[in-house]
Formats: sequence, C-alpha cells, structure tokens
Amino acid sequence: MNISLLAFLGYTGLVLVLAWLSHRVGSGKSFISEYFLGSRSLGVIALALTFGATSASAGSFAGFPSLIYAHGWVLALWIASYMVFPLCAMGLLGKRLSQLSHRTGAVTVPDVLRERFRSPALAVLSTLLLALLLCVYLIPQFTLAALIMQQLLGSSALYQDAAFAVQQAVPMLAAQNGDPEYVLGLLIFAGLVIVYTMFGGFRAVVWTDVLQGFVMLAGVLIMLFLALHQVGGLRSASEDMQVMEPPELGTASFALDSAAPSSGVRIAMGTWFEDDGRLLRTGEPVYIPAGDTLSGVVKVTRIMTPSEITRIKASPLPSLPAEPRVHELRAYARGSGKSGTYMRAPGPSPSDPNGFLPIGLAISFFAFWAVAGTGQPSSMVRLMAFTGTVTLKRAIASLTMYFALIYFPLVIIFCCARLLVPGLDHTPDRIMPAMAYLLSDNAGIPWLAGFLIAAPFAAAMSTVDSFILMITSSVVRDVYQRSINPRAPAARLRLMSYCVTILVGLVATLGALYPPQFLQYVVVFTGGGLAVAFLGPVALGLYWPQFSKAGAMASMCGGFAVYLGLYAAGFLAYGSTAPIRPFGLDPLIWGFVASLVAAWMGTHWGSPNPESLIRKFFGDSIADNPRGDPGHPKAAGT
Amino acid sequence: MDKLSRSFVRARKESLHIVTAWLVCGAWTLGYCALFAYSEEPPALIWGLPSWVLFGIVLPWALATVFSIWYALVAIQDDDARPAA
Repeated sequence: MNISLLAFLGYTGLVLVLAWLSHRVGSGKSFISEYFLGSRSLGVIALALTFGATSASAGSFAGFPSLIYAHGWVLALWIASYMVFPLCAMGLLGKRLSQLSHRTGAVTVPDVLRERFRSPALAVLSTLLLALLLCVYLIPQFTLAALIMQQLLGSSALYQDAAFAVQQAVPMLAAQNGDPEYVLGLLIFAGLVIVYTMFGGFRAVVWTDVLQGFVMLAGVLIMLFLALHQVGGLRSASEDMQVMEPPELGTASFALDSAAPSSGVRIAMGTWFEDDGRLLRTGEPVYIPAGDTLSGVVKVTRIMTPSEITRIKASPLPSLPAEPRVHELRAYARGSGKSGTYMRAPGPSPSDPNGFLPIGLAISFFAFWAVAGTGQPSSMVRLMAFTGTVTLKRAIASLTMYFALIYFPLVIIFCCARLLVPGLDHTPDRIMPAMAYLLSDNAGIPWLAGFLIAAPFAAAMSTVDSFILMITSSVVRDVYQRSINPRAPAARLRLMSYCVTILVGLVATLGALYPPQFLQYVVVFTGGGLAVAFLGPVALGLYWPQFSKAGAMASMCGGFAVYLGLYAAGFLAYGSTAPIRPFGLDPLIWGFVASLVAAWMGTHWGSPNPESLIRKFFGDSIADNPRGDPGHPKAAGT
Repeated sequence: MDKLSRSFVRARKESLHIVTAWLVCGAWTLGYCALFAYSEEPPALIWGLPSWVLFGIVLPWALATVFSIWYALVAIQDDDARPAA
C-alpha cells in the first residue's frame, strides 16, 4: 500500500478517535456552552495550539512556501510581524474579552457585542457579516485541502480506483470539475471535517487542533534538519543563492516525426530537456494523443544561472520521445540577469517591475499580520474559552516559541528548496509536496513523506473546522436562540447545530467544486474583511468606556465599506482582483483607520452610553459584583 | 462614573505596553531593512544568513520572543477571568 496513504489513514483515525473522546467528555454538560465553547475549559497547551493551528491556515503550508521559493529571503521581511503576533493577538484582547464574556455568559463574538452595547441590531449585523465572509473563506480552504489530498494520495492505485468509482457513480459531480481525483479528495476532506466537527463540537475542534499543531511543528523541524543537511549547510546554500539569477518562463510544445501510437506519448511534468543549448524543465505533463504528431502547449522554465546549469547537467538528462519546440521565453520584470536577487529585497518578480515586496508593501504587511491576526473572530472566540489569566499568560509564552519555531524555519527550508528542486518556478504551489518527497527519499526514509505532507493537510483542517463551528454558533446561538426562540430546548439546539454544520459543509463543498480562480486573493480579502469589521468594535468596546452603540455600528460598517471600496475600485480600474493601494498601503490599513475614525465620529455624535452600562463593564463595582447587576447589594455604593 | 475597576486599568495599561512593543519591533525591522535590505549590493553573509536578515529580522525576532515570554509570564497581572459569582 502507498506509504502516504498509510500515513493519512493513521492520521485520520487519530482525528476520529479524538472527536469520539471529546463527544464523551462533553456529554451531560450544558449543550450551548460545551458545544460552542468547550465549557470554557481550555488549558495552556490547548489554548496555545488551537490558537496557533487555527491561525496557520492551508496558506501557511502551501501558499507561504511557494512565495518563499518564488521570491527568496525577502519573505523573512514579509512575515516578520509574527515576531510579536502571539503577544498582540492574545495579549491585547485576551484578558478583557475573557472577563467580559464570562461576566455576560456570551459564547460568540456577536454575543459579546450584543451585551456590551445592548444592541440586538449590532449582533445581527455582525452575525450576517461573519457568516457571509466565513462561508466565502471556507471555499478556498476546501479547495486547497482537496488539492493537498490529490497530491498526497494521487499516486496510490487505491485512490485512483476510488476516484474512477466516484466518476462512474456520480458522473455529473466529477464532470463539473473535470478531475475525479480532485473531487474525491474534496469529498473525503469535507466528510471528515463535517463529521468530527458536528460530532464533537468545540472540544473536538480544539483537541484535533492540538494534534494538528504538533504535526505541523514536527513536520517543519524535520524538514529543516533534512534540508540543511542535504544542501550542505546554510552558508553553502546562501553562497549558491548569491549567484542565482531568476529563470525565464515560457511555453513549448513537443513534436513527433510520425503519428503517436495508440497509447499516445507522455512526458512527465518536471522533465529536464535541452533546446538550442538552453536548459529547460516542463511545468506540466506533456501528452501527444494517438495518431497525432504534436502536443498541446505546456509551460516551461529556463534555468539561467551557469553554476546551476552545470550542477543539473552533471546527471544525464532523460532522452525525450519527442522533439521540443520552445515558443516564447519571458524574462522576469524585476531581477532578470542580476545575480543575488533572491538574497535581498524587494525580491524578484516575473510580472511586477517594482519587485515582490517594495517597502510600502513591507510596512503594510507588518501591520497586516498583527491587525488581521488580532481581529479574526475565530481567534477572539478562543480568548473566551480559557480557564484563567494564568492559562492565557502561559499560552502566550508557548505560542511565541511555537511561531518562532515554525515561520522562520519555513523561510530557511524553502530557500534551500531553490537549490534542491530547481525549475519549479512556473508551478511553485507544488514545492511543499515536492520537497517532502525529495527530502524523504534522499534521507532513505520514504514513509516520512506522508507525515510531512500531513502538515499542510492538518493546517487546512484546523482552520476549516473552527470556521464551520463559528458559522454554526452564529446561526444557532445569535440568530435562533437569542433572536427567535430564547426558550428553545437543548435537544432542538443540538439538532439545529448538527443540521447547520452539515449545511455549511455542503455549501463549501459545492463552492469548491467550482473553485474561484484566485484562491489566495479570496483568502486575503475575506481574512482582511473580517479583521477590519471586527477589530475596531471589539477592541474599542473592551477599552473605551464611552464607545457607544452608534460608534460600534459606524466602526463596523465604515471600516468594511472603505476596505470593500478599495477592492471594488481596483476591479473597476484594473479589471483584476488587485485592489487600489493609496500610498502603497494595503486596503486593510485604510479600512482599519476608517474603522477608528468612524468609531470616534459615531461615539461623538451618537447617543452616549447609559451610566449603568459603563459601570457594568468598566466600573469599580466589578470586583465585588462581577455580573454588574445594579441591584446587587455591593453595587449600591457605586 | 466615579472610578474605573482596577482590573480594567491594568488590562488597558498592558495593552498599551503591547502596542508599544509592536511599534518598536516595526520601527527596528522596517527601519533597518529599508536601509540595508534594498541595496543593490550583494549582502554580506553572517552565519550563512544575509546580514540584513540577521540584524533586521532574526535579532529583533529573538529579542521580541524573550520580551514576549517575560512580559506574558511576569508583567501581565493575574486577574481571574472567571466571575466570582
């Protein structure tokens, strides 16, 4: 049996066991508090790892490595804000959010807003925004997870047979996407996540996050050791990168002298070949159909660095069954013909003459990660679920170490990948599995590849489960229980929760059958939108006593409107998904600034908060009268 | 309102410290990298790292890690998040 399949099955088995255990532990407790917040019982490891694993989406283990591979060391600057991410994301809001949610019994972020501002309208608005953006966010996560499944198990005969069976059983389903292996990966992923999220609720999500967090950490550290060993040490790798030039990207087709036989002619993706003394690599599989003499046009990458060409040609190149015809080769817009461009900022770029990360964009991203990370409702929910301040403090310390051990090592690993797996510049998204297989094979431990590839799969899963549960909690708790039927029995809430979880999973699965074209842009847009909409109202609500209902409403709507407007203007101006970036700064920064300005204006011109509300959440009576009940005997003197 | 609760005042002070730490890290990293990472000259290597990565990112990252751990474990006050009632 395929070793990757074995590793995957083992991992899946563990996830299901954890879901079953969490279901058993949670049974007999209050349904809403247990299902949506794990009875607020998170310990240090659980809080740190569920926070870390949820933050690290599939993008961290698929998109980030591909960016490092494509642009080099400048990605260390791109991700540098993670040096203070745990302190900001957990420390800024953690203590106050926890106090407030405990005091009011709130179990969701809209719940907190409703209580803090005494505004059902704000709760409904935030629920709608949350559910809409999270549903959109889920689609690229499902898509990436299905692609990872395909890469992980695609070489297994059992998987291919199962994909064929799916195609036969539901031809329409497979035909919609055109790729039965992708569809099977999507169905397996969706089924697994829906089942364990539905069955175990928040506790299952957290426990599986802990498992996934350990898988990610172990995967990165093993890859770091193997990559540095196989590249001859960091100094050796950097010296080779100092002379490296960006490649040229282009297209080619392959021709036969006579018609192809009945089985056709295939040339594998990643095959090296020479054409007029130029060294190139195919970026897609080549296929010449039976009876034909010419293949379709495929992507190719031309290596430009002399020392790299010598190293690759030291091993004999494969003899090709067809003659290559290179059509066009394009030099990089930034970095072409310059050695060492992967070692410095702004990094090479195939399309942007300003490079990958001009300084304005670097400033944006330094702010982006802190603001976006702190403002994610999925992070805020975790800050409502721990046992006490001591747990929060230790979790911040643990997560600081965890992120330091994950993100900077990833930069080193995938800079080494430029030397170990050259010529993948047309399809850098494949670098993670390619490195996993190469490092494991070179080390003589091929089974390790399955474990290493489980890391991005775990990252996708740990993000998706949290978001599904957040949407469920928003619909069941904030809309149904709080606004429609406050006396709903636990059995009905349980049934509704199960149904909504299944429904959300199905919607995301259907969306992923027709995946949007620009996955990373959807992830960035929705993640930024959530942060812009929620960080202002929540943070100011926790720390500004006079911050009022009108201010919160203005902050949420104003920030999101500016953010959305800059994306819409970019679409109208450029006809693409790139937003307008005034002064080179990302729309998230402008959206957040607008959110703060609107908050001030709304609070300044709107109705002030009643004194009792301020006293309840900020007053000195809190120590004696934690629920802020004005009728409490010890509140009388305040 | 007469008086703000002590736990709120402490939390607000801590949040200001955290924002300050973030600003200091940003000023160091972005300032150093703006000066030295965008040069056309090939960077010097120190311990195998480009010098701008070592001094502009690794060093502040290490110090931020030490500071975050110290601040979390020592400076943040214990304010029990659970309601007394």
